Amino acid sequence: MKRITNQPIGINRLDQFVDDFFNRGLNAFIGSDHFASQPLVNVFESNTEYTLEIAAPGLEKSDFEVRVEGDFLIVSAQKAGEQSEEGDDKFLRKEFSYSTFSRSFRLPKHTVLEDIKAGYDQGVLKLRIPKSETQVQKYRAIEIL
Amino acid sequence: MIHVVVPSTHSSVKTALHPNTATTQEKQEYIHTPVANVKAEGEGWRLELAAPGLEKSSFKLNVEGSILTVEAAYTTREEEGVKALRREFGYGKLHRAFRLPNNADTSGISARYDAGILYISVPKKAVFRVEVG
Repeated sequence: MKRITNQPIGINRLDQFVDDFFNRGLNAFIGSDHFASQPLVNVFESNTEYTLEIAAPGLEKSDFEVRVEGDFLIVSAQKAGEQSEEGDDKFLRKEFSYSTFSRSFRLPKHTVLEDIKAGYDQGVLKLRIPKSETQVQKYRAIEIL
Repeated sequence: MIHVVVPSTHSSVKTALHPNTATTQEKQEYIHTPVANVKAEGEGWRLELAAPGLEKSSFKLNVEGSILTVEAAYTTREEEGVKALRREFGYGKLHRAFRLPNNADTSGISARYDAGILYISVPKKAVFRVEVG
């Protein structure tokens, strides 16, 4: 809720960067501009592997599912025992919920699927995807006769 | 347990910069606004701040009057031979300030860090009622 003051703008300047504790304004009904439900991602590459970091705070290790379908690595999460709208009325401000999400990544060709390692620490899911030493020929060019 | 300092020396509130094109050194300077949830909890409120990939010692909480300020800084270390193909989080600083309700008991604020979320409990001031006889 925006507080309306009769002070000149210059005096009230600092308030623009301070949020009210409660956010029961219009956007509680029409949705907020900065609601986050898709996790942020970092991707690193070294000579031997790719590292994927997915920021999904507030979950348990067992809430994640990581699978490979074709060329895609699919990371999804479902928070155990969480009804999606459970206790929603108790929220006075709600800007994030990572309790249910799915994000897919196209894998580079030369990776060893069997050796992908995953760990969850401080709200970050970290996946290590090793590169294969020999470039496995996954695709076959079909000659047009 | 995260140490809560009450009150503090004044720290200026900075505007959030937009991370677009930047060198690693410039990225250290970026100030992000972490997303937050506020929930009614018992006799007070619980503030949840999404801050993945930090240590509890990285946080600095201050209460000044009714303004609660949370700051944290990431330490980005560059590894030899590792290049970032995409970097959406985990660099620069986090900063956010909240105006607490008038009936918040600022001396009873406590915080803990778990699974990338900073949980801050803000109790309500005790109400003393006078019986009208």
